[in-house]
Amino acid sequence: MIKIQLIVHGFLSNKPEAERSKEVIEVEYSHALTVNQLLKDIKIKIEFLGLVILDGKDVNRDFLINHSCQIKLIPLLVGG
Amino acid sequence: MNHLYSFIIDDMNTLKNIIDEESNQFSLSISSIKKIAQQNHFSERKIEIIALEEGILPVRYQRNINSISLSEQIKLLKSKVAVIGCGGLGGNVIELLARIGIGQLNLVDGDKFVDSNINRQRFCNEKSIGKNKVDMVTDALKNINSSLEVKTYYQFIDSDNLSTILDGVNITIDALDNIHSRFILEKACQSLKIPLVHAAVEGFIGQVSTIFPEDKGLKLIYGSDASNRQFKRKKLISVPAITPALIAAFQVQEAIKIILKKENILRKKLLYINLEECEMEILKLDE
Repeated sequence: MIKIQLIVHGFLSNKPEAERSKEVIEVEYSHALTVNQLLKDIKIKIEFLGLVILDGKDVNRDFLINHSCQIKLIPLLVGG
Repeated sequence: MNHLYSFIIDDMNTLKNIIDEESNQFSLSISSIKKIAQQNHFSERKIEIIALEEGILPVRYQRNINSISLSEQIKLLKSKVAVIGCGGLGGNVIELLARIGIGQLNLVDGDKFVDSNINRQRFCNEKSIGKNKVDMVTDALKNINSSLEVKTYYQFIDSDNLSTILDGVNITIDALDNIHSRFILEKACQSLKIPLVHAAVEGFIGQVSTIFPEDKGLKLIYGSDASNRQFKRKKLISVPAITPALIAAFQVQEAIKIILKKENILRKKLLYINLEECEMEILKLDE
């Protein structure tokens, strides 16, 4: 079983109470899957997603997740 | 040619003697620097550099010492930094660069101050609303560090004007507010071989990264399709004052580290800060 803990930062979250902080989502899979497949399964504002940090390292959307891990989803920051 | 050279040497020796006489032991006040500069038709920055080379510390930089050495202060005074954008990040960056003793600034912004800038933009006040940002910033800087030499560009950046704006610049600071312009800036910096200190903010979240000309840079942060993605965002971007103030400080620290050739630069890394959560982490960017 692959257990994935997702930490959804800031305005990526669809939950208004998490918009200014973060939301923690936990999911389990019986098979390996890509980051893209995972992102389709969870409800976040994916159009504002910047970096995907898996166990502390930035990974591509086609990265294959084959072990339990923590993933941080970092929003796309624009302002100056 | 030899005659001219010896004249310059004589002139410089006289100037060194004047600075020596005006100094109080090993320090030189702001008023003394102004007096010497005016009487000898040299810039204040030049007087400060000569004084430091003689081991005389301009008092304005006294509280930098022990963190920044005399020789490092000279390097800062001889440096030129371009700040692209004079808003939330830019205003704070500019003030810090001026106070720490960067010698020359090229400031760029095609905007005027508006009411909604006042919550966060360092040089926006009720009297400056409606006026050009670059002019207001330059006026304010004269009262902070008159040795600072400032060039202003009341225009938005594009691929045509950046070669002029970045001419002779050692470091460029990205204080922009959109991704499209950031990519244009990065391309120009890469072509002119200038390090770029990137930052962006939203809400209580901010990020900083240093990009050298040969690095993949913004593509690693935003992805190659980011310019298009940005336009999908319709919601007003929230930027409370605290976030740009903090993130700007990190940008200036990066610029100083690059100029002084220090280690631990945020190269191929992204410093990510969430102020409200008291979280700060350095993310390694995928090569």
